[in-house]
Amino acid sequence: MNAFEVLWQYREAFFDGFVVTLELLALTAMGGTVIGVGLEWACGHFEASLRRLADAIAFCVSAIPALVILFWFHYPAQALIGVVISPFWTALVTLLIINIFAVYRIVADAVKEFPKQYIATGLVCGLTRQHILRYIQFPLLLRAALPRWIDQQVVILQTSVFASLIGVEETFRVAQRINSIVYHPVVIYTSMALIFLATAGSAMYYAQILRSKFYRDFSER
Amino acid sequence: MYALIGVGKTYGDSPVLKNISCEIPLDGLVTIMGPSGSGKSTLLRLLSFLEAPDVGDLRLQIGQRRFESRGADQPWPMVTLVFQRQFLWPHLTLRENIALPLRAARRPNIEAKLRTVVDVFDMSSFVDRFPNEVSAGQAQRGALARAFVLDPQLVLLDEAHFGLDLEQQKILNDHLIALRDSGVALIVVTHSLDFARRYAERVVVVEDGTISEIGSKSILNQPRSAYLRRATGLSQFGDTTSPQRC
Repeated sequence: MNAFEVLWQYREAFFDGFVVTLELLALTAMGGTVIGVGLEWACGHFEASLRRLADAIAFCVSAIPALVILFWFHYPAQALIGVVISPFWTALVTLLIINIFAVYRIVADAVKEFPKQYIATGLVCGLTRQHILRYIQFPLLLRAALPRWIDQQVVILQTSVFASLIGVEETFRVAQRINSIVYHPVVIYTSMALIFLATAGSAMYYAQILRSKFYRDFSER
Repeated sequence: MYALIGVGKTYGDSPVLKNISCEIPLDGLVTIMGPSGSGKSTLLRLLSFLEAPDVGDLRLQIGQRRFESRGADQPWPMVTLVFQRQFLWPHLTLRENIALPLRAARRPNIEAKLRTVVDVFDMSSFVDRFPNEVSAGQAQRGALARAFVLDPQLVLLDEAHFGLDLEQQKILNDHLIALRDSGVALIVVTHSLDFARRYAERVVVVEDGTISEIGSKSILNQPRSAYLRRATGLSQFGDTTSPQRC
């Protein structure tokens, strides 16, 4: 039995697991992007103390392993407040928090590195703030942030396998369950590798293409 | 005509411009000269209204319009600025860089105007390239074309000759003189005495955050400011000292 035969034989189970993985990824990506971008906007428009707080939390979230945060939310946090939340939502909240602060840092770095002279040049050329935002800032910030954003979502996809440890029926957990039935670990985990290579690998490849496309050599000629 | 009344500008704890009061007539080409770090570029940013002075007031009368540094109206694009590094928008070709101000201003006949500007600045061979694909001189011409496309009445240029070889400098100078002769007022920050001697109607000398000398280009022959005296080879002890020769 080879990897493709396993994938085909247990296609429904793998598909269900993969759908859960994609749900986690999609909700995390959307929520993390909207809230992360909103957080950067808020930090840019309100008191400096908000940015200091956001930076401090982003530092802590990136320093603490995702698994520790996941377990902390799944066991002690729920015990502390006396609630029982489904593993899927616990995993989603964990991934969302990680992604919010990662996206916040990506956008904040892009904004910080954006040459303000491009805005000044737009102003003296008679462009309004709306024109500058639409035609200069947004396209350039998107080019700067998009490859890193895709890389971050790949990290989220890979981190989502930890959700299997608290009982979320995502791809990795499905693979483990199938392995416990057929006991072909090499074949099963090769199947897993193929699934992630097809999804994460293609996203990483796309990020690489964007990097090459958007890269500009500013050196003097 | 610019009127500066007790203008001062400070970055952090460092005063960059100190209590400047003077008038700068806008007749033809005005050069701003001075040692590095003297405040020339800061003065240019104030004159372009991109920044306001911390103290004092800056007024500009151009044509029938009046602008004040503390007023709500901005003089752009009637007054525009070309930076030392051109800051062409890197995601747009030179053609798109020039077209964007036209489209934003909803000008009619954009294509015809583009063709005219491309011809004036002799850019047809490289106008569809991105800024990183052209030489420094071509980028400078692109920046000038972008600045001039909305028919400004006053253009400020910060060290426009920076990074250009002699041939490119001559091409740039020819463009500037043609524009001056067409009635556009120019204020050019430059380190080139030769440029000032040849083309300037008026010279402003900035030293240590203040305007130390201002007048027609004849001041280059009998300078009073320490900077010009050093730059022209005249010692600070007398006019009779011969310029140092290599």
